[in-house]
Amino acid sequence: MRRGMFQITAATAAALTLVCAACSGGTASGSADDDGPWAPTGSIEYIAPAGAGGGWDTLARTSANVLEGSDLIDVRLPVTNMEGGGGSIGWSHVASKESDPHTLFVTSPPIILVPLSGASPHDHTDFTPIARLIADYSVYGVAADSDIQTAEDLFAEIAADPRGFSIGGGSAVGSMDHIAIAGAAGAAGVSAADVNYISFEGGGEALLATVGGHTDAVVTDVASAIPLVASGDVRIVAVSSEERVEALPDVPTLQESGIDFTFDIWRGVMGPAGLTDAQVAYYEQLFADMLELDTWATERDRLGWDDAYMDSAEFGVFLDEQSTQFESILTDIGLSS
Amino acid sequence: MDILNQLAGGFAVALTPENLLYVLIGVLVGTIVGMLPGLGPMAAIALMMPIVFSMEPASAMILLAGVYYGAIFGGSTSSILLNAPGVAGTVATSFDGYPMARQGLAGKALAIAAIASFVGGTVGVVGLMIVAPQLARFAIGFGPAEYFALMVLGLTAVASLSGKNLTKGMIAAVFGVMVSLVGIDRQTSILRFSFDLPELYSGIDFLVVALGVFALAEVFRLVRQRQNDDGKSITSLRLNRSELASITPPMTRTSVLGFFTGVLPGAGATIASFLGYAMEKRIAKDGESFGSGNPKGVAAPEAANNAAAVGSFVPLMTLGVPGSGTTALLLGALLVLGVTPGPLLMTERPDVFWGVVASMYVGNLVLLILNLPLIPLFARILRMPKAMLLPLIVVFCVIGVYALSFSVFDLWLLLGFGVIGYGMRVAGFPAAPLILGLILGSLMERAARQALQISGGDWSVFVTKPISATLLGIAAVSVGLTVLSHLRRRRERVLVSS
Amino acid sequence: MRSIMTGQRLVAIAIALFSVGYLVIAFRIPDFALEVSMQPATFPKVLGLSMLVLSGLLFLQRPTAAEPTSEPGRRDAIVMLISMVFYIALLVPLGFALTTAVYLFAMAFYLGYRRHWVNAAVAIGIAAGLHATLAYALGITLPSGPLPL
Repeated sequence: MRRGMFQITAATAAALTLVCAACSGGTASGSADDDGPWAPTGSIEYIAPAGAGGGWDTLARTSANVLEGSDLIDVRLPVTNMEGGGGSIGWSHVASKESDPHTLFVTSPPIILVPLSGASPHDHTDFTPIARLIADYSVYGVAADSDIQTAEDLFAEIAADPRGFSIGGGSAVGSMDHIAIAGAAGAAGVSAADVNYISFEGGGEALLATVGGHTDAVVTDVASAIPLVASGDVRIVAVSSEERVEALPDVPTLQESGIDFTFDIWRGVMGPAGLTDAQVAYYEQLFADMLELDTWATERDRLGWDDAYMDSAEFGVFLDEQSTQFESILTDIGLSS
Repeated sequence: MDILNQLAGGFAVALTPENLLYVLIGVLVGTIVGMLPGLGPMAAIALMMPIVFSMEPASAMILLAGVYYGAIFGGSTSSILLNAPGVAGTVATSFDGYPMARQGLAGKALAIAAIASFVGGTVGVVGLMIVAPQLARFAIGFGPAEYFALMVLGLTAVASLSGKNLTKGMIAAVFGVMVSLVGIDRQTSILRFSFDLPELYSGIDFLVVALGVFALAEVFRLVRQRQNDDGKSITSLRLNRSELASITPPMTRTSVLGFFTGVLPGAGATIASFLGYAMEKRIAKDGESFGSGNPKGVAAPEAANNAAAVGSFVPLMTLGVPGSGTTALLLGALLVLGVTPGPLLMTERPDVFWGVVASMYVGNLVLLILNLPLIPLFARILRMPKAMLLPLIVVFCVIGVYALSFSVFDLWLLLGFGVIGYGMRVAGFPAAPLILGLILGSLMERAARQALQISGGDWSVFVTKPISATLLGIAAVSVGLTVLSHLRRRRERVLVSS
Repeated sequence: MRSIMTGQRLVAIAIALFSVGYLVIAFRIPDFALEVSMQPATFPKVLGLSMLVLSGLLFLQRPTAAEPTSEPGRRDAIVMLISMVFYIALLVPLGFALTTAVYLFAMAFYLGYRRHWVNAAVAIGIAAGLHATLAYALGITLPSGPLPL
């Protein structure tokens, strides 16, 4: 049943995460090039390839509101929701708009993961990266009464009883939460294929299953975990960020625990293929400037986002790296197609 | 009495003129949006989001909660009048509500729905107030194995929904389950029955099917009836004492059932309404007349779905876990407003928790007061000449489906299911089991796979866990009774004919 | 009982054929690469077989009375269906407001509503009203087509 009642928008929670750490706005190399500067001549169709209320939608609407309310841009950015296929419906639409500089869409790891699972004919290489904007992180947790105290304990348990030790997560098999635990397992010297990952509808259900003793551990995003961490029902043993997150100051990173793995759930903006350098330069400058706005800072802090800007070129390289990394983790799990 | 003190504090929040206004706006907007087929609480809440971000958390939640239960309430109106469920939770309301409307009892059916909603909502609020923290622990006891058992129990309702021919009902139910499996399988990311159509990757939306097999199929049926039944009179909406007395026990029972079902994050208002309907049909002495305009058949699902809507606030506010897409939106709103729902909410932000609880009392009352006088007005739509009404129902269905996904493909699906639904009617297949199969099918499969994945493939998990074993036991007894009664009826028929 | 091939038996055969087609597709669903407790094809196979068994039961059953259908209404139902095909097909190119107004007017006319001015006023009023309500009150943008909405 699609988008039905039970489709908990994990993304809603995910997007609304995290207390913001010190944010580096980043400066873009936005100088005009050979073709001369470019600017939009009409309203920009700003696509959230999902329904209203999810993470993509929240990012699209928030950034559109901030931009429209600023003097950075004088055309409108009406947000269009194109729901379906985990994003592939929206992506097909953008792919059909090749070279149209008045189309943008918000994006995150599914642009890599969904094509890898074979469920979308389009992947990130079919689009022009504009900018990476924000990031969120994964956490690894157990029920409060569990014997597991550290990340080492967690992976030791997995290694000891691969089939019997179950780990719940909020996303599909082979998607974000599964990658986050399998990748960490691989780095901890445990076979990624030995992770008995159970997919739940959203981080909330996955957490409850662990609290209720139905699963042994849970992997989800910071925001989803916070309520049950605060109440003492769930203990987080590690976070996937490079540095500790402000919302969970006592939780060590995987790297501190001796596991060389980081994972961030980033979000950014892309456009159709075939945009000119001037058009890309215009947009990356636009979003770089947006991140500097006080109105953005207010929204960002309120939504608990963490700025993680990359310009078009950096973002493009980053996407390729992510794609390689995800593919190798999926291969380790036994899922490469 | 600590609770009374807390509640008094809550009323102090809810009864400020400002918040009263928000309750009023919320339930009004919710009712109107909910009445449009296809547009449910999710659409209404999503659209209120930008407004609430600048409000006090308590006021924002009061407004959004009002929109939420207002929409569920409003959904029953189009279910009853047009056979076009406005909200998934009100599909079951149409089973008897629409036949009542066709018999000229639209006013009465709407009044029963309003009263049952009020009762369900109020029972739910009382439950939320008194036992929310304990119930949260109850909800946690439900893991995949328990959900599987609950879905199996839910499917036994097919027997109640099948009418005379159990075989046809089961065929419809299996077809519904088949439809629910279309798309990407979340457990493995493998595509099933999607025929390389990206539009099918994420499955077929519940409301597309419901509007097709109920509303459009009905349009096709009505258009074939040449006799003109224009200007149908709408009887008084007043219920006499014996009618009230007859619907009171079902309302009370299904309110409690609905509340507990709503508390489970993996169940919700739709399942609650079906369970309530099936339960009352079985209990009622005149259960045979369910489906052809029995007032109890309106009261039961309406009380259940409203109680469940309130019940869904239990996991949301006390665990920070949303049980449905709609409550996920509410969770998002709370987080944005700087309130972290969870086990600590009641102590850290009593104004939010108790303010919302108190506002629900007020909101339920407002809904009742607001809607009873409006019922004759709504019911007037049935006085429209059939020549105008039928195309208008089509337009409503098209808007509802289009607004869900902005996809013309879904409109073709809607039409397809309209034709299927009409064909089923002609051939004597009931549509309700199809909807039940659609709701429960994929959930049941998912729960089974999760449970088996956790147990390492050991099927005994379903009977070794107490809650799961109990639910499966009830399901088995229920199936046994149905089979017995069918056999007995057949024997009687044989005896009569010989 | 007119013949062995009652309507219900034909329906049962149609359902059986559907089940076979469904099973063929179900058996072609690939197995998952990992060891799982239940393959993605398992449940569909069970469903397909259940449907096949049920269609067999239906075939053997004594037919129950189907809803009587009257010949004259058939044309109306077909016109209704065709009109909906046009309505859906033209919704995006011509826009919601225009298509809806034309559809409402034409269908009410076809179904025998004869007060044409009232009909036109209602059709236009409803189409414009719905478009405006959805666009301005609910923020749902319906296709606008060539009209400057």
